Amino acid sequence: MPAKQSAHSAGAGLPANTSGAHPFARKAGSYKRGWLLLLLLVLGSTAQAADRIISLGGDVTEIVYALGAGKQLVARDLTSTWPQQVQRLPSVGYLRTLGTEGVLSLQPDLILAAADAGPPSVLSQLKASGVNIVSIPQARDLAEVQQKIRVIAQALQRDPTPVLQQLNEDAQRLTSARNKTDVPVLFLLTHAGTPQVAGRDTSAAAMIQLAGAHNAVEQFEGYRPLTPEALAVQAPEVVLITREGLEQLGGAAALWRLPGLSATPAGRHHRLIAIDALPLLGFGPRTAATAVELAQALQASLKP
Amino acid sequence: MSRWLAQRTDQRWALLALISALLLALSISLQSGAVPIAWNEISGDSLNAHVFWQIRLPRVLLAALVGAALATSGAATQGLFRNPLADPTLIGIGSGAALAVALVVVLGAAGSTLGGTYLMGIAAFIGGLLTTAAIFAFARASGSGIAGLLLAGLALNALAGAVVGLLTFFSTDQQLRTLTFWSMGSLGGAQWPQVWACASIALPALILLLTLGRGLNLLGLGEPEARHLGLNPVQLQRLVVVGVALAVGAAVAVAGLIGFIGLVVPHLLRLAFGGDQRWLLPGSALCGAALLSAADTGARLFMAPAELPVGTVTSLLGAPFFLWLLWHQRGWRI
Repeated sequence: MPAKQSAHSAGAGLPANTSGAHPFARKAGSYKRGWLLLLLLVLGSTAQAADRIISLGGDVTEIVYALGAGKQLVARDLTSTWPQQVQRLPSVGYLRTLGTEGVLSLQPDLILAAADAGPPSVLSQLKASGVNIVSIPQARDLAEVQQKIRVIAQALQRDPTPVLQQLNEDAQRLTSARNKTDVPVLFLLTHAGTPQVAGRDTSAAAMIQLAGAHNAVEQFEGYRPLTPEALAVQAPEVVLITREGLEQLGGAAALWRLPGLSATPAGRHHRLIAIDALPLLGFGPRTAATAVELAQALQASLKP
Repeated sequence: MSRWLAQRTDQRWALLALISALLLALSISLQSGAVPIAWNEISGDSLNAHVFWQIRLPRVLLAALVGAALATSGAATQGLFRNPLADPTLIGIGSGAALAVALVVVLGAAGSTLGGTYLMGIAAFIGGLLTTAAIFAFARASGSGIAGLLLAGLALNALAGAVVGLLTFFSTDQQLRTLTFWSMGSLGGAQWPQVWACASIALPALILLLTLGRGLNLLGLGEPEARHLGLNPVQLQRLVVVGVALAVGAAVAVAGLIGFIGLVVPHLLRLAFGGDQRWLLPGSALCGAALLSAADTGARLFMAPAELPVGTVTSLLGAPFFLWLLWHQRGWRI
């Protein structure tokens, strides 16, 4: 089990350099022309760049901060919990049940909306009220994460290079980290009621694959409650869970008491990995770093 | 005679009080919201004017309309079944609407677009009406009058609920969330087209229901007695079901399932009006409209800039008040 949310993932989230926003000023030939150009640039960018932004979606908010635009945020949604300082911002509620007037009361000039933000009628009212809404594509692999970062950077008129570079570095570490760990991994979702397991086409399955293992349950799409008997047949070698989910369940001891789980190889050897939900499932800038963490944890737990 | 007159005067006062309560609720609702808007800002072309005319006003009107439709339908259904626990879901509108919405969401992937939202509304309306028609047909075939209606309603509601459960099982994560939020009910995203669509169906249905007070009073004496007094119970039953199905169907189509109002508003009003349906029906319309627009104002304000589900607020405001009344009205006839 990994001890804690590791330090390198925090490093990926912090902007390395944001001064790249106005690189043209130095290139201008004469001072006079340079100043004019700078003035034009500043005027142009204040006319265009948004300074009251609402970010909807935990991954989107993470990327906004990674790009160094966190100070321009005026509000967030309930799923935006990282970095810590974002929790001081007012919340517009759950991103699927937004209220038109509440959002407008914050006078946003740009809304960065994750794919599942809504309801659609509220988004259309916001558009009709003249707010610029940029919808951010979903991501299930690293190329799509890059695309997500580029779309947000373009909307913010920021340079995505430092964030993409960090992601690339993490991805390179991942290539060396993910070897000989291709075992079936079971992801448990424990929101409320019966715990559910992740099937095909889930962000959990995508993350498990990214870390070099494979998802134990391939029979269905999405999250379903799995019967204890079927659980034993899937024979997962490792159980993966979000840290929040494990707490809700009452810790590792409570988890192994779930019916059917103790009969699996993972249950017999008590192989459990818990990682924070947002970096694990959000597919934001920490994705590659978290996949490295998962791959290392897998190797550590599979050591005899 | 003089006692009857006195009671009638009381009812007039109560109706007047309800009208003023509705006007008060509407004006408070129009004045409050996350965006502070002064009365002198609502003319012109500013953002505040836009918020007032395009966002707040349609929502307040829709809340009043849906509240009136649900409460009046509740009173009429309770009168028809002569049972204080009856509510419009008994004749299948809620379950039928839920079934149709689940079908379009799970099989048609509606809900993620604006067109999908409209599709859900249309499906809810048609599904509610079809289920009600089916319940009605079974009841008539059974030939056992209102009891038959009740039993056919119970069976078809159970069936619809089971199919919704099955569809839920096959739904993806996103579809499941769409269904869950639909079933919580919301007036968020109300726009003028929805107001017009809902009003064009719910208002005629409401007017129809309001004319049925005398008939429901007679029916309250018992089916055979009503027949002796010249009432055709089958005809009345048909009119009530049509009126309730259209009114609630239109409400559910635009706002999803909003509970509590249809069941409780008629009870509250029996305190003021007694059991006379001629007063109870218009009273329920006014009180339902006032209560839902007040509750929706609360839903918009309590957690601003976020929003609460309005069904939660109606229950939060209404249920304690209802319990308080229950406590203080021992021996209250329901």
